[in-house]
Amino acid sequence: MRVTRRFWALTGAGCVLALLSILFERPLLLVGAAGSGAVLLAAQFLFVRRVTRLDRTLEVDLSLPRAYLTEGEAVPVTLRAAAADSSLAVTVTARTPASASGPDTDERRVALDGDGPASTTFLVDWPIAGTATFPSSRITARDPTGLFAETVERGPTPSVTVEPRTTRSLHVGQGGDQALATFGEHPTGELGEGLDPAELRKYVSGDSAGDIDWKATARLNEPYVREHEVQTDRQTVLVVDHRERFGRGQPGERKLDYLREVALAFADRAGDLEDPLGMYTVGDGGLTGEFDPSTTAERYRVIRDALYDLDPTSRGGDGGTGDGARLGPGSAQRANTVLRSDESAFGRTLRPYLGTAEGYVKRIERDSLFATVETYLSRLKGVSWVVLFTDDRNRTELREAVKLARADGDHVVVFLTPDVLFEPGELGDLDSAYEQYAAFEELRRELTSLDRVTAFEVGPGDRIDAILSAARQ
Amino acid sequence: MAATETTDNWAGVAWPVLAVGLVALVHVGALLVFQSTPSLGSAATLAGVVLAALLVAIGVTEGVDPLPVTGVAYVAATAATWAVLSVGDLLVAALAVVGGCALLSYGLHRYELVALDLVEVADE
Repeated sequence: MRVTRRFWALTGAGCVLALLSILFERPLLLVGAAGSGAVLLAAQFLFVRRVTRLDRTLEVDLSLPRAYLTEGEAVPVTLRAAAADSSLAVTVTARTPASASGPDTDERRVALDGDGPASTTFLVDWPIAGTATFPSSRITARDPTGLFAETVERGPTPSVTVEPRTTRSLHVGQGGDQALATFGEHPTGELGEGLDPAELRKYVSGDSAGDIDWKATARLNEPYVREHEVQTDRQTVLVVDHRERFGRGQPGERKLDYLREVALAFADRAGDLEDPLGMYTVGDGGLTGEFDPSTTAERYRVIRDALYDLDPTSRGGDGGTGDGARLGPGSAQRANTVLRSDESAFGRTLRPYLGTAEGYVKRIERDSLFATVETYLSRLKGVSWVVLFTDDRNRTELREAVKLARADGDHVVVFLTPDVLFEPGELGDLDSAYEQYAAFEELRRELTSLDRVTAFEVGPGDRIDAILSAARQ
Repeated sequence: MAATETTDNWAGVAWPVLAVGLVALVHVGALLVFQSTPSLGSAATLAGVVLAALLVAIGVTEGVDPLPVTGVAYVAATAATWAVLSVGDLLVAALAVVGGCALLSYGLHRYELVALDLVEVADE
């Protein structure tokens, strides 16, 4: 119970009467002070009685259309309240979770004035993914005499689950076919000392007596040893491209969103298998994140957090649009050979630009993906599984980066988001889209044909289906 | 809202303000009539007159709802005060009146907290 200044003023008046009665020795004033106190106690008693009755009869309901929401969604929330007729001034204010964003208090408040139930509906935004619970509504009752007020919290506390925007139909595959199992346990393919039995072979001189399978030896009447599958940790290094162009697409369905889903799956898998996991993230200006391989739980968590936090960077001047037209070293060499015999003005003008391969390599070095692979992967010790997440926009850079990544005997898995699948709006010209997709597929096959390289496409499955269906017709 | 309509219900004055003002004025005015401590009969007559005026004022401004509680409280308070005055001196009686009112008010406050289930664990 809260008391107002008016209450304290009346209490002060009674106390003054009591004080004066002592000062002037007039008991009659003390009787007046007692009478004033009696009036205030009566008012307080009436307030308490009304508030407790209100609490018994009050009904508050807070309802949402559904319990599962999507991040960034705004949903209407309805507050209904009813109570028995009372002389108290009663307001019911709905409160929103800290992670939600609601309107001003005035729009979330209803007043119960005795004319029946009251209700209001207001929109609540959910900018943060997670689980949230509405606090109980706040009921404020004020005494009509203006002496007392009380605030209690009543009503339901509905919970909602806000799910992050995710890619609508993640497709990971090759040539339009879904890859059912792209990653899993990773045996070395070698036999030796391990846990899982592999095969029996005859004992040869030099084998340890401890490896002899005595049951097989007894059964086959000559000594046999049992080989086991050798398993090892696989150092996995993720290289995630998040340059400006990876923001292409609708919110939640950008190139980066699709690549992030796959990268998170890799990070989870590495954590489950306790494989050393590292990550390098590449922005327009160069390296934006460096996480050297480690098996600590903290490293897995940090990499997951970093993946969730990734956003496309702004262009830093390393080029981008139109880079796909650049020539690779082989094409440049062929063009150079042709131009050597070309004595036209065109040939003479272009010859100096194609004179040496060295200039081309320096140009490639300016591409941040290539530079990252060259600088950071080359210093890793041991054989790694390098997982590249990028797109097909800058094909020359991609080819060179993949070749460089597999240079030290590393295995390379490339996940590519075809540019054609992320055209804004609906796919307009399906024939043109199919041609672009075919060009992408050619690139993917070219990469997969490289030793120790596997390339997959990543993108919205419905768009791939639309393009391929149109091509079949 | 109801609060706005009833808070200032008679010439801009709520009924407790009116009642406390009436009680204070009547007792201060009674000092002019009673030069010394009045007898029990005179005091009872004065209390009856004040109570009647009080009930009329409250009944006119607020209605009948507060009348029983206010009447009982006023009678009990004046009777208890005269009782204390008859057995003790004025200072003791003044302390008893102020302390008793404060105690009752706090008791009502605690009763409300329990009734509304607002008692915190730390308060218990």
